[in-house]
Amino acid sequence: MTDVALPAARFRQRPALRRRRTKNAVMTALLLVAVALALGALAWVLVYVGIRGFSVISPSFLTHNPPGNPAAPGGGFFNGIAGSLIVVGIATGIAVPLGVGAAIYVVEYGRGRLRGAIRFFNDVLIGIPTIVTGAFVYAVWVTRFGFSGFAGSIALAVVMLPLVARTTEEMLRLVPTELREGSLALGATRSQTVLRICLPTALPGIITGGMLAVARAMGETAPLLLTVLGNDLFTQLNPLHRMETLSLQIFSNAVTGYEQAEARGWAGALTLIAIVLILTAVARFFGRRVQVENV
Amino acid sequence: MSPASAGGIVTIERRPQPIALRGEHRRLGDSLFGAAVALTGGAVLVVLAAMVVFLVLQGLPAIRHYGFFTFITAQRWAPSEASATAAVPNPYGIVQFIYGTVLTSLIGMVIAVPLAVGAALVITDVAPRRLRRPLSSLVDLLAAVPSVVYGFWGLFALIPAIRPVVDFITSTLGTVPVIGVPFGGPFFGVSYFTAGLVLAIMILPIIAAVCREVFRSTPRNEKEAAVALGATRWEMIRIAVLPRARSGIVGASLIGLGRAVGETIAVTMVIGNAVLHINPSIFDQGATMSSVIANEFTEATEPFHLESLFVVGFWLLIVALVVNMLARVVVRRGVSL
Amino acid sequence: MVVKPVHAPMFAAHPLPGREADQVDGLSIDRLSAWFGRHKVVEDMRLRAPSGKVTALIGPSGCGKSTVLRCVNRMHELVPGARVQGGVHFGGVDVYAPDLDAGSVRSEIGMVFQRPNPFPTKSIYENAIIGVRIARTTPRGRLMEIAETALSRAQLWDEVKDRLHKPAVSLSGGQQQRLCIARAIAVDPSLLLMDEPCSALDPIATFKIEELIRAIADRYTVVIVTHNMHQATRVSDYTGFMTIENAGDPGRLVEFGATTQIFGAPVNPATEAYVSGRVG
Repeated sequence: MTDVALPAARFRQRPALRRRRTKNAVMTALLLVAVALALGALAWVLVYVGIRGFSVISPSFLTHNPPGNPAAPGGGFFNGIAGSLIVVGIATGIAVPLGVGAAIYVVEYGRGRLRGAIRFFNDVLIGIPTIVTGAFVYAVWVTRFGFSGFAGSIALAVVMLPLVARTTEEMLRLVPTELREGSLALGATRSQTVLRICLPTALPGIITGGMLAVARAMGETAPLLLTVLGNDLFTQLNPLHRMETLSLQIFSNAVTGYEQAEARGWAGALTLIAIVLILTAVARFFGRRVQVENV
Repeated sequence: MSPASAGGIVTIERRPQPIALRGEHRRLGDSLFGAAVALTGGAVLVVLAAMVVFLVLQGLPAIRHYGFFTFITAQRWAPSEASATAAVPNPYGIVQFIYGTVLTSLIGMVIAVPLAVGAALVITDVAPRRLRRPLSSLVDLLAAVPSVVYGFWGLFALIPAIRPVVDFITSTLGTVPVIGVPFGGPFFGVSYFTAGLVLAIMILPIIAAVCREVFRSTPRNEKEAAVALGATRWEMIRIAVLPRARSGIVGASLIGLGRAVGETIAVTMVIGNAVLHINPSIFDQGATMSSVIANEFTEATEPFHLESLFVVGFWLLIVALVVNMLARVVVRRGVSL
Repeated sequence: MVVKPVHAPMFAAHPLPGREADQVDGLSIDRLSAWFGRHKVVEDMRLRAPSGKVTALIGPSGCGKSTVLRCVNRMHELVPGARVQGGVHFGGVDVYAPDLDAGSVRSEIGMVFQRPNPFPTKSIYENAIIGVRIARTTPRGRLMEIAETALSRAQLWDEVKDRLHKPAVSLSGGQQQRLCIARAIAVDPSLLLMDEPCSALDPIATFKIEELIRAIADRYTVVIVTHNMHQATRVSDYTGFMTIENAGDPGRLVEFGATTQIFGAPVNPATEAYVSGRVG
């Protein structure tokens, strides 16, 4: 090799390097600012709700109904909390079997285009505005049977179904083919293989997906506006009648203009966030890695 | 079983059942199961189709009365002017709702997309490895907060915070002729802009989640090639990560757009619900397709009011379907590249 | 089988022609050890790769050859928990000097990877000059000239000169790897590290690359890791043999010398066993 400038000199001869490193530092800082803004917003929301709600919340908040006069202090959102649990509970009972069934079909039975179509449109269904879902259930059910908690459950089930279907599908796909083949080789039928081998193996993930769907349903307001309508002051536990849900209650109390009602609204918001966060945290913590697209 | 007689001894032949007939019950159960499961699979398609059908059906009386296109050409939404007999002019013009939806979603996207891309890059390539999972979970947490809580917070926390800034803008930029019109006051707190801000926070986690997957799918081989050439971290991102991610980022943004278009409660709480017509400034009050439905549904007593709301709902469904389908197609292509 | 690693005496017994133990140019690795977290993967590695020559590093898979290479251009430290100890000097400069930034080191050292990794969204031309573009020390006018030089040296120019702006991924595997070589040499590095560059390629593509290595050897210092012994004999002037004694042990250099000597008359029995195909 013709001995030209020793490499030693070249390692250090870097006029452009400082500019590049500055640019790197600036861009990295910008990226970090982006994350900081996102997390800052989250912190702001949680802290604000926490502070406003904390001063009002109490055990009696969870066990009493709102006072008849919105300007009066005290009382609670018991009817909403109970109503939410009932409406969401029924919705879960509808959505989970249907969603799991659809996923089983797609993973274990489906073939070709129909299966692709179902997967595609399932994803599309996830993105449907929930107010439209509510309008749909109004058109199909409420016009015939009136407003009721059950109508709200149907609407929430339509919201939850594609979510449950998607996560279940992903979990079922993770079940190794060897397990299926082993079962079939023993003479089991398809349905037996699915019910005895695939579902139990995928169960933790399915439960996680289900809990995340429940958390989502607890927070929904729009579809319930058009189906359940709300029942501000009274505890109504019969889903065949109009009921109150926590989300509706927060909504109606937030915009009344009465300070006391708003205060109750904050306590309600804190309660709702707490429920949703606990459900989400438990689901993620115990479940296997579920693809986190809360779309 | 046919008795065969051979010398008086009766032997009863037990013909074994052919294997195919064994467990007939099981096969029946299996077929039933398969059918049931197929039905549930079809439920997804049925529900979607039914949505379109029923919304049209519910809106049909209004469409028949006023005609299909007058909803777009009419200038105002003034239910109080509706009459059961007169069909002209159509008091249920919906252009301002389409405008509101587009404007608020656009504002949301302009703010959310860069922040989401940045956050996703930090999570996949910048943050120390131990922090990546927690950061990721925290950003996802933004998606868990219910819409009504965002609306509530927007009303009471966000608006007072942005008021000084917005008042400054309306009193300076907003007073400039022509270009200042979109930024003019007065600012009442609730506005298109406020709704756009709240939407930005709500769609950020979804865009970030999709971008994360796209960035994560960058082959390590290519990242190493960039680093081996002496690239700084930003240069590596610019050369190896971002170019491949272009269509993925577009797809992620479309998914965010789809969500923004459909968002109802938070928007309704902070947009002001001024339904009459389009208002020129982003700091004015307004309404979106979803907010007007939520706002007026329970009190839609005028002639053809409820039906017209269904017409709005129908259009909202179409827009959401188009955006979502486009988004899915683009994302699938983006991640598989 | 007892393996006796031999260190400094090995060099003394077979001195590199015309060089002292203390070289100013070329690559010298001294007492290099490397860890992945707690797991030691390289122990007390020594190597002298003279400039203008091709030095091969051979040995069974898993003995740390690639890790040694990655310690030279400071890629090893990118793995969380990775640790390096010892000296790596190139042209008299300590590669791990605290005032030297890793990026500058890497831009002076070219690396070619096992699987070709051209940037898929960029054209052939853009891939060739990307290293130069990053460094920002070259005026735009010269870029095409540099691309032509690098692609010619990589023996790819004739095949791509009419389609420089087509996507790099439209090339075959062997061509892509030559493009990666062009990309590495476009920045005019002093040292070229090649980590099993032909292992993902077919024999014809392999042959072409071996030809080009022989052709460019005198301009650079080349260190090539290969598990293909015949390749080492065809391509290199010097060879180092690394191995591990038992599974889980760190890799060590067993013998180093002129390629003809290592393959023709290896001193260490372990080397002899490996190159004769009895082991590894």
